[in-house]
Amino acid sequence: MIGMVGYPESITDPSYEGQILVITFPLVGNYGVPPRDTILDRLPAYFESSRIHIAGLVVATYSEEYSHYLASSSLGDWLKEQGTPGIWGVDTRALTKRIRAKGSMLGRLRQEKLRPQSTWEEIEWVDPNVKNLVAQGIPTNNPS
Amino acid sequence: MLLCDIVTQHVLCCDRLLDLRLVDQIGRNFSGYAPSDLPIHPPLPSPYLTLFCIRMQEEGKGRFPMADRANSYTTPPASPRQLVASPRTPTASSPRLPHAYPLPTAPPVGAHPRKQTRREAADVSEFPLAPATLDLGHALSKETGKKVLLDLADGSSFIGFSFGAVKSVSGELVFQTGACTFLRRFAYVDRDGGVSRVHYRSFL
Repeated sequence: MIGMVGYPESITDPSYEGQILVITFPLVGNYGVPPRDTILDRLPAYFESSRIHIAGLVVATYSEEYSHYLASSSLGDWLKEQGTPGIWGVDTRALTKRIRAKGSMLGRLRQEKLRPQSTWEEIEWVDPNVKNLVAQGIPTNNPS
Repeated sequence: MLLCDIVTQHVLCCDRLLDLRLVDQIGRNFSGYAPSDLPIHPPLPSPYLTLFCIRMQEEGKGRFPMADRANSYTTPPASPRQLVASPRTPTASSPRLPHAYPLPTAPPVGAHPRKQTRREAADVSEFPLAPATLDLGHALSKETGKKVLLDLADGSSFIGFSFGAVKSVSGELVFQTGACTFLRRFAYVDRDGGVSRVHYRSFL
């Protein structure tokens, strides 16, 4: 997506359900995250929906420090709160060129496992495109 | 803008991290740290260090116009191969670079002193962190120091650090190229009524 919105909007956008989002902008997190409980006309004031929809977030440089008049917490805290993993320190532009050249593909974020020996956690590939995301529960009476 | 140059680089081969030592144009030294984004296979592509030919920006100093910066910044690492091979020993006598770039000229003697703007009068301690360095303490802290493998379906992989929830997930990889930060930041007018200050600690 070539979006002109910030990361709070992107990662709460329901169209990203099940996807791992790569942000090419080099610095992410520096303006924190606005308060989640501000409701404007029955809708979350600063987000596209009431929860994070992406499966994971990939950024080049993550800033735990933030500064913005609306910010109430850091991006990392919000992701933690919503159980969404993130990874930083990746050359997201090289990664994007790869995705562009080869077409969109599946990805996995695997946490480091230290015991019994240092390795990466094993998980299955999941393709959100073969799942019925609508049936998966986006309640209609409550915008999420 | 302040220009900086990489003085020494050490590669921690086991962790694939780059330990950078930088000196900026006015002679300040910074030690920094950059997670390398080397793909695991093949192990060490030679031109990767050019990623860290860092153009440092320090907002609020504005001494070097953009054109200047573009022309004068040409310091590719001499030999990546050699740098990779160097042991990770702190170089006590790390050579301070001579001033490779023109320093701002001093005002002529007797010139009428220009009245300082509010911004200029602000204390330098406004910048608590060395600009454009990744903070080693932060990178290795309990919160963000844990490593994550990003695995692509085509077999390539990237190593990075964890933030947010510590959890493995799989899904479809999509990207966003929006210049999102700019919008947010420029929409922000600070209390002085001034335009927002945008500063980057690093540009990968």
